[in-house]
Amino acid sequence: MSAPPPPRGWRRRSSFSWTARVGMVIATAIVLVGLVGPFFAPDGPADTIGAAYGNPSSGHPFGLDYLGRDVLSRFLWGGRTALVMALLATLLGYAIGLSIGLAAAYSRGIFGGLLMRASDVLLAFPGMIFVLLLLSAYGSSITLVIVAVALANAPRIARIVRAAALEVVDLAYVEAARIRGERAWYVTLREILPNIKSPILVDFGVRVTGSILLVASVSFLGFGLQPPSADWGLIVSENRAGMTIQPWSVVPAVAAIGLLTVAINLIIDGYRGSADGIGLAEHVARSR
Amino acid sequence: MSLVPAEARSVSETAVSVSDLRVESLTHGVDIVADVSFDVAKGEALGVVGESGCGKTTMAMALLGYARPGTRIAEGRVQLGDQNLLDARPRGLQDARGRRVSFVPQNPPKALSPGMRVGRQVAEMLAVHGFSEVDDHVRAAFAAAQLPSDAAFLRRYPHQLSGGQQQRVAIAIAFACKPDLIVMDEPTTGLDVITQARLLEVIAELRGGDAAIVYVSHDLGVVRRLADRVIVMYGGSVVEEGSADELFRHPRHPYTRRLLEAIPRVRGRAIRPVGIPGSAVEPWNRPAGCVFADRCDFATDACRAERPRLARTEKGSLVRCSRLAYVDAHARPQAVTLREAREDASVPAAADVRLIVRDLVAGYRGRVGWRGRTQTSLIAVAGVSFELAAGRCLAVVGESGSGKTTLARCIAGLHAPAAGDVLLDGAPLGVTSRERSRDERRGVQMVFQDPDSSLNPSMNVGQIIGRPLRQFHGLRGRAEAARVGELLELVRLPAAFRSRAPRTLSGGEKQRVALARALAAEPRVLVCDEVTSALDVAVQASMLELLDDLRTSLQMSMLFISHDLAVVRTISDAVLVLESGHVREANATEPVFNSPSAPYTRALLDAIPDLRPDDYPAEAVTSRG
Repeated sequence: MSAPPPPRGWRRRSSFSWTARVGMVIATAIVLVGLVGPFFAPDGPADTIGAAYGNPSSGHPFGLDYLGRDVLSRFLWGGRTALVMALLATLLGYAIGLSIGLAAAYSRGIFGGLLMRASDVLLAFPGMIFVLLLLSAYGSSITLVIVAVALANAPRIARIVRAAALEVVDLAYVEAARIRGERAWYVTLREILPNIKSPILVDFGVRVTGSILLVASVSFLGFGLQPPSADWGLIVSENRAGMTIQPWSVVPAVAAIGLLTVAINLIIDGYRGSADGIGLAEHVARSR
Repeated sequence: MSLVPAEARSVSETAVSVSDLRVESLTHGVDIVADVSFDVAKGEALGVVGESGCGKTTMAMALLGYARPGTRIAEGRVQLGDQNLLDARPRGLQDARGRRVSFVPQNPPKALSPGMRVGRQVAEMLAVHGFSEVDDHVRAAFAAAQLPSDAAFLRRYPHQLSGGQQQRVAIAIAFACKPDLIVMDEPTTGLDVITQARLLEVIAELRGGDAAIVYVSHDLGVVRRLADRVIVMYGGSVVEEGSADELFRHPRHPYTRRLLEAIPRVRGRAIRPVGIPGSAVEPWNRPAGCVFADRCDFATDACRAERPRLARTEKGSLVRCSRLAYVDAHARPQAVTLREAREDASVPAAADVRLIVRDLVAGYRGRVGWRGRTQTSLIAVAGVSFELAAGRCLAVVGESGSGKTTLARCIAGLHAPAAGDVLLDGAPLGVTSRERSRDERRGVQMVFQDPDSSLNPSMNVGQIIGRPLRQFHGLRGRAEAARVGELLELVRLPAAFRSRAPRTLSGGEKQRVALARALAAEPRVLVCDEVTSALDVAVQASMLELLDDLRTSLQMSMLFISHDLAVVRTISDAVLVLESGHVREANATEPVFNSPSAPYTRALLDAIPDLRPDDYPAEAVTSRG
């Protein structure tokens, strides 16, 4: 007997609605601009080209900024640091949140309850407030921004991982492992984690993009990267004063950040869950 | 006992006439149901039976002019008097549904609107179809469904009713407008046997009128109790149609014969059911010729090449088989009575006691109320004791909520009992698996109810079976692979299955892999928790055969948890009847069935819809070999 061949015209039902796919396209495009942008920048990020707030011209489609630097070049340079910082912050946040969420789901009882109550305390603070609190207490450095964003994400990640793992932890194959006396690390990493990977991957993507926004906001407020570095958040902050004279000095950076926000929300709203996973849109929404 | 009223048999005016019904799948590009034609007379009940995936639910839905998303009613007629339902425009179809045809679904809690009082749900149906004096009709409908019809009851919400009452409300809705045709899709599935028996009586009494009933079920016992005429479906088409008495006593089609042989019986002689090899054919795998050819003992190349037509036999029934004369002459029942089977298996005398359970008490503690101040506890198992000998099978039976699964979980180490001892080979076992030694854990293994959640979807079969081999026997690499092959062979699966993913397996195959995983530990006691309840009868019979053979060949003790007494009879040496955590009866298997001592056991046995003693393969069972 052989495996049943997939029927004609058979296609697996997608986990994403078309709006979510539009969101993914936008998010991917912006992330790509941030990563490979510097290779296409006509000028260096710190090169002074002409007068402050120079109008758009053929060589400088977005004109010049408050120090007479090319807006397009600074925009193309300005995504990379924020992206790398956001990625590192998310990875660190996952290292913490995934462990807490899995431990809480597997052990439940008092230990699991304690972990989740502790993360609830952190959840009570909006992410931004939490990051600013840490930065104002310990001074501002790139490392601290990463750690602060990671810590802001961790309790939300823990919630989602726990919610997904709870759906799996009572299934018969996990119970069979418990009857065999498998250790906790084996049960969580081999029996539970691989079967909740699809909601977690979706959450990871959304969280990286969310962290970009957080990092950009921190830069805008002056806690992140310091001038003369190019950074989307910083670009908006620096050129704020001349926005009425040369609006193009902030448009690319504002558009990138704004579109990223829209894209994230499209993905979250449009994620329907998959056959092996759990419909997580509501968990994601609740945890934000 | 027959629930078919005598006068119903003589009525012959046609209520509904179905012809050439074909439903196709738009995504797969194949027919799900094809070439289905039948008439149902007024007051007649037509049973539709078949394994899951044979198209019976799709066919039943089509009778209401409905096709699930992704499917389409491609052709056919459903003629109700002067109206062809399949020609009706949406508006006309809406008028006809409820008024002329109605539906009783499988899952009552999902079928009733949770936020609407039950009285209004019936009233709504009447009001939509323009009935006046709705309140009187509602009360009459409730009374007919043998529900209380006082105002307080009508004002209840569905969640305030029991499962059986919910299903009776659904029946009251279906009968409310006195339609010509009522389609019932497995309406008793998921109910306890006693509740089911009560519901069947309600249906039998309600059908005194003119309504024709199409009753879809995989449970042949239920159909035998209720139906005047029966259709057997396989692979999307009708393979046999006949009067219930004729079809159950003298089945003609090879599939019908095998299906009847797969059914375990509660009454009469104990028969060891025989499974059908292979698994039911999926719509996209159906052959050009006879749909049953691949599993048929009599199939020839001609059968595989050309699809046989439904032909009328001399007894007036219809059979779709091109070799009927040959089959009639050569088909012999393969079922054997259990006494013979037992002698064949030569079970050694019960020497050593392997598992002892003494005064086991177990329950669940929960906190309710404001800040969890009120502590409630539920006793699931209230002082159960038994002994299980080497190589023997003890069945634990009871309805849902009787504590049988909790008992199994305590023995397997998944649930900590509140009091009592579990002894394996004379030594007390740790309370939970965490407190057990490696040998103790190895000694007790479990197979679970739901095949779909029994196997880790991210591992392949080889990894799933290999894990306990590594853990308990330290096997690695080639030795592990060889043993996985042996275990697959032991559960009668090809060795090539090792690289298959669980989602590519059928339910029966998944349960075999789960069994192989448990056997890999070489357990002293195997706990089987409702292992066949999610399987079709033919697959169930094969699984029972396999378990019985393995128990004798491996000298393994088995604790077989089940709600299905008929299944229990075919496999166990002794039976423990549980009711709300208490042992009501404990005895060897046959005495429990032939002369039950506890009233509860008798009530359970009486409630089971069974085939009749003279139904196939009754007359030939003793002549084996």
